[in-house]
Amino acid sequence: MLRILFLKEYIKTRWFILAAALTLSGFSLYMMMNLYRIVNLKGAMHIWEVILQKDALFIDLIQWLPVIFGILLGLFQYVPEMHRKCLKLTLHLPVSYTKLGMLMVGYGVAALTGVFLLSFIILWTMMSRVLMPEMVSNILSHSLVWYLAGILSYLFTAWITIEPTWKRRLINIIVSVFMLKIFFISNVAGSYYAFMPILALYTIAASTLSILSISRFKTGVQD
Amino acid sequence: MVKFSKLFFYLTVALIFIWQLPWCYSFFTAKASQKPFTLYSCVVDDFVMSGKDNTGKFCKTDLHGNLYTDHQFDSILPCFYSRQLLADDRFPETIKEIPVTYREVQSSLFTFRSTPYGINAPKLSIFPLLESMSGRVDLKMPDDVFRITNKAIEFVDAETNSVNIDKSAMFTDMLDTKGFRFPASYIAGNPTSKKEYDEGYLILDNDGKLFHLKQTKGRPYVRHIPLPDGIVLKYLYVTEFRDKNLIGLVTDTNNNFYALKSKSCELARIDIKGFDPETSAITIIGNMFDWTVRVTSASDDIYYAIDATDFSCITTYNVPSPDDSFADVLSALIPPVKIHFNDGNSKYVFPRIRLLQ
Repeated sequence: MLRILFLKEYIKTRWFILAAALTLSGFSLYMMMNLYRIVNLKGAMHIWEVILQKDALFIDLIQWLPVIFGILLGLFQYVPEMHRKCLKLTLHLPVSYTKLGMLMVGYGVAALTGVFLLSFIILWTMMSRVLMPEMVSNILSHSLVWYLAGILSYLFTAWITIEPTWKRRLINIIVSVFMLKIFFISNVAGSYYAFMPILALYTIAASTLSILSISRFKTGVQD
Repeated sequence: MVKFSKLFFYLTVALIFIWQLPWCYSFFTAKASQKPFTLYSCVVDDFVMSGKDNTGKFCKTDLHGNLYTDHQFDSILPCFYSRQLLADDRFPETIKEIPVTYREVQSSLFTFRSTPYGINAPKLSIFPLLESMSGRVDLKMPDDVFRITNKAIEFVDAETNSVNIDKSAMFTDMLDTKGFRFPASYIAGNPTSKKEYDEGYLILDNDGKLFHLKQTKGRPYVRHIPLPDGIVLKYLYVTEFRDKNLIGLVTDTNNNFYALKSKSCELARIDIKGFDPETSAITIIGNMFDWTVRVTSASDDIYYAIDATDFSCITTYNVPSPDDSFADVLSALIPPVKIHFNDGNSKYVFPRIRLLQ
């Protein structure tokens, strides 16, 4: 049963996931080609100097993409459920709604993680050829904050989309915007170093929010 | 699970309230703070300032309330306004009865600034070591950078992204010979070619011993600088001021501030109190006679006039803090718990919780 449910989620989102993986990887490749171009034109030391003196990240272009893809995946996965009232049917299956909710969210998180991992590997392998390991880890550790924001934006989108009332949905949107803002306070590499574990724990806990919406949906809360 | 998610939701809403409410309040009640530009004048032996007075009128005055015209103000700060005085053909032949030339005065002028925002920041422990005796007027950035590991100093070539083994061995041997114990606990320098000369780096080794590292004609220059007993250094700054009298400025674990003289490599205590680089900002505007040192912390804003020869304190000026308005009092009380993630004194993003005292 769970395998079939997983397959249902896969059929709904497979083209989007492919498009997201291609786009994010494409952007990652583009940024790295740009880095290589500067190295060819001005020398590697120029890039190193800019990193050391100006805290440059060179991958700022992708900072919003994980959040955008997180939101889009949430919409692709849950809007059809709500629009075609599929969720109502799904909740009639002999599986607890908590388990169902966590499975759907778990699928989304796993898919997003795969997409982000692909981009991360491209950045890491290509960056390592021209930058020192310290610089690579400094830049990529900061990109983890953006990837984490992408996962949280997906979890928030699931929570907002499944929510049955517009009044509460609006509150959820406001809460989500403020919480995501925390991930973009600073663009200084290493600035989130101590905060990352707390943000990761918050993201894990946020995966339960969609259960709250499913529970309200199941009990028939309406505007 | 539902109970947990409900609790989690309410906690999130509470967090947003205690974070955003004070921010919104301070956003709408923010006032511009205009502090007058203040310097010590060795001519009138007092702090003088230019800025707006209580009525909002721009004026130039001293602590005794004497008003000055622009011309007079230039004259009582002959070092700081030396260019203006020279242009007006008013540059004095003597200052404090000491014969001076424009060139001497110009070469002694410097400004130095350190802020907690610059100190409390993530930093990469990678540094370019410039050639300090290239024979050229303009400095050039090297093609490599160094890191100090647990066992050695390693130079990494930028073009090949690999360790230059010969150069690394040469510098490691020299550091070993001079008694350096790896790894370094603090490294300070000004890694830029936009300066007049290069003094390399001041480094604290694993035992807290102070070393001066430079590259001269491709060879390592390492000097161990002995410290007086009982002094444990914490923060180092390489100054590279035009007059070359100092190698750097340093602080110790007791928040004492020292000048490191270049010829004798002696530490001379600068007579200011409680300068902690992690919490206080310091600005020094110096000339050949005196330094105006401003130390600003959350609670105090103090100006010190320091004698440039022996670093003793000539006089101080404690800037009175403005009276709190009703809006300030209210913002301190409501809400009783506050949280903020970024701070003007740090580049780190982290939840900082403040409870009402």
